[in-house]
Amino acid sequence: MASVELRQVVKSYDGKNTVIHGIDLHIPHGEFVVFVGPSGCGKSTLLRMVAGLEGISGGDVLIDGKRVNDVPPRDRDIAMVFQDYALYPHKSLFENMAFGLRLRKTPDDEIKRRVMDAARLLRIDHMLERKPAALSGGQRQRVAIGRAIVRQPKVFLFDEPLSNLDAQLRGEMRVEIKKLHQRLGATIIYVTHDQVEAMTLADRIAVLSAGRTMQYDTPSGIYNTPAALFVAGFTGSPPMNLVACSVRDGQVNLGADARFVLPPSLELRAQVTGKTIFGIRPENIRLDPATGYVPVQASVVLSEPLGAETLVTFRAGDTELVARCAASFALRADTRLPIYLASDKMHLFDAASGTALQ
Amino acid sequence: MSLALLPPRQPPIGVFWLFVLPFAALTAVFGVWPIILSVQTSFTASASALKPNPTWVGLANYASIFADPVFVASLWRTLLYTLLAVVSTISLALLYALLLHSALIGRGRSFFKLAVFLPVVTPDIAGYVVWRWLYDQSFGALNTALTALHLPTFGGLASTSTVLQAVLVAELWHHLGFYVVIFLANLALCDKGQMEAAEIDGASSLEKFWHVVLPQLRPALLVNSVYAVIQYLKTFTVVAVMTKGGPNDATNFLSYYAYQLFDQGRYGEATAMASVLFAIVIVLAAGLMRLQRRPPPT
Repeated sequence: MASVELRQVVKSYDGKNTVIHGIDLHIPHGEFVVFVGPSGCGKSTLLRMVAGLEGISGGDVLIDGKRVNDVPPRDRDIAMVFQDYALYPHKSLFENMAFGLRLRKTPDDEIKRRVMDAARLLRIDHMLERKPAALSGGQRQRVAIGRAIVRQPKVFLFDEPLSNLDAQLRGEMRVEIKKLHQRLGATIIYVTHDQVEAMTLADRIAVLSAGRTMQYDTPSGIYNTPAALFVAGFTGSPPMNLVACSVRDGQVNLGADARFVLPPSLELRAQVTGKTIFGIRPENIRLDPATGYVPVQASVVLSEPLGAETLVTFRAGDTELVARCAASFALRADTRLPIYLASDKMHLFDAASGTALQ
Repeated sequence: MSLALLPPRQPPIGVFWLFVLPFAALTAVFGVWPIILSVQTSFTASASALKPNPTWVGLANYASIFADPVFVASLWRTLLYTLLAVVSTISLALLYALLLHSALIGRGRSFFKLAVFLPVVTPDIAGYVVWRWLYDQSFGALNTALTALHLPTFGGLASTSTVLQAVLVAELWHHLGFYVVIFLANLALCDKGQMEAAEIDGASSLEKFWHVVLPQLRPALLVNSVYAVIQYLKTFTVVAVMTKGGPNDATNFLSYYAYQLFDQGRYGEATAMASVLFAIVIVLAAGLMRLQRRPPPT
């Protein structure tokens, strides 16, 4: 186990095209950190810089307090699981897992013990003589994880390891990886574009956009107190309702007759000046009055029954808001009714900078 | 039914034969038929070989050539030269391709690619004539340069101890580019992820080459080695242009010896030699393909 620290890390190609703009992150011992963001945000590049597979144009990468900018990958004591598995097709599963240990001149009996332990943990011990071509995607991914485990590295790096699997297998493997982390207690950096994966696996999440860290926080912090418009829109399924509004005298105006007073507890009134984005998550809208909720006049646009619940889109003023309602919701389109927004779950963002107003 | 569920459209069978038949006919007439005729001729007496009703002599021509010490020496020489040439060609082409593929050669990559491939498209006879001049003992550029540098001169085509090397160098110059291109195509298809995985696993450059790159180059190794074996077993042009089989039969390879006998009207023996060469080519090529298609050791 080891800590990983990124200090003002920059990556640019040919000195012109900068893809990582000075990222600072501290990943403590044994923590499971997920880099999440859309395609092209630089998350894989950042991971590869930690691995040593990409050069560092500026700043420092430290593993266990030691600067490793110029240390080759093989001397960083890390293990990596690749998106496309990167197994050696001509080697058996046993030899795939043993390869790193053989290169390090580990004694044969120790290699056998470690490979068997990892194989049992991953439930692939009955197929160790097979070649990768004879395995399913999920089994290959287990071998790739096994190859990393046997090395007993300081840091595990996962580069979108589940993105080639189907939805069901992805869910199963996600649970396996979480169990693995609990059992090994290892420091893990995990890259994904899937916010569900990030929320379910991480101790801490770094949300990246265009080569910058938008927020580095616990999953709960990311979800409940997004620091930026991008983070608010990226997390949650369905994502947070984000609508343009005007704020005057402590009142939010969504257009027409849809207006409500901001709660004094948020102390937002004084800060709000220009164009503003109002945000509220679908589960923080309800249909009956309750303490701490403010009413807004709305009408039903459409409902999407999901079995356990129904997602209902309401029109409020000039905007639309999605609410997570009970499965029994049965009102027809155009029905007018008041909806109730949780005062303490409201968010306001500066429309120009995208930062949260708090 | 959605489009995705529709079975793929099969082209009409007539289209298949339209494409296949012309080339099948060409192969049959200009490839297979001459081979059959040649093998047939090898069982006939040379004097009547080209007549409508030749005299059948069974295996007499084969018995005759295997009793001929020049043929036996030529056969061994051909095999030895092939072994030497195949090993040199494959290893040099692989080394050259690896260098071209690596980051060591930067902007000069296109130049070096062109430099190695240009001889392939140069007419072989023209190339070998130039090599003969280069090796010339009286006015050749090679020995002139060696003398100017106060180094011992090279026997080249005039000495039995150096002629094989001299011929081999000329052949390598002419053929290497083809093999380099095949290796480069295969290298471009190699999985970069495996290289990175090996790097993280702790492999050195040599270990990465041995455990990751080489196993992925099996298709190119197969194609190149089979093609090289066939090509060098049939070595003819370089001998005809540069040495005429000499000096003292040192480059009298099987193809050239068979050609000489054919020229003398000894059709039966010449075609028997050609048939022996054909059998060796088939056996070696099939053996190589079988060997390389086996799963590699783990």
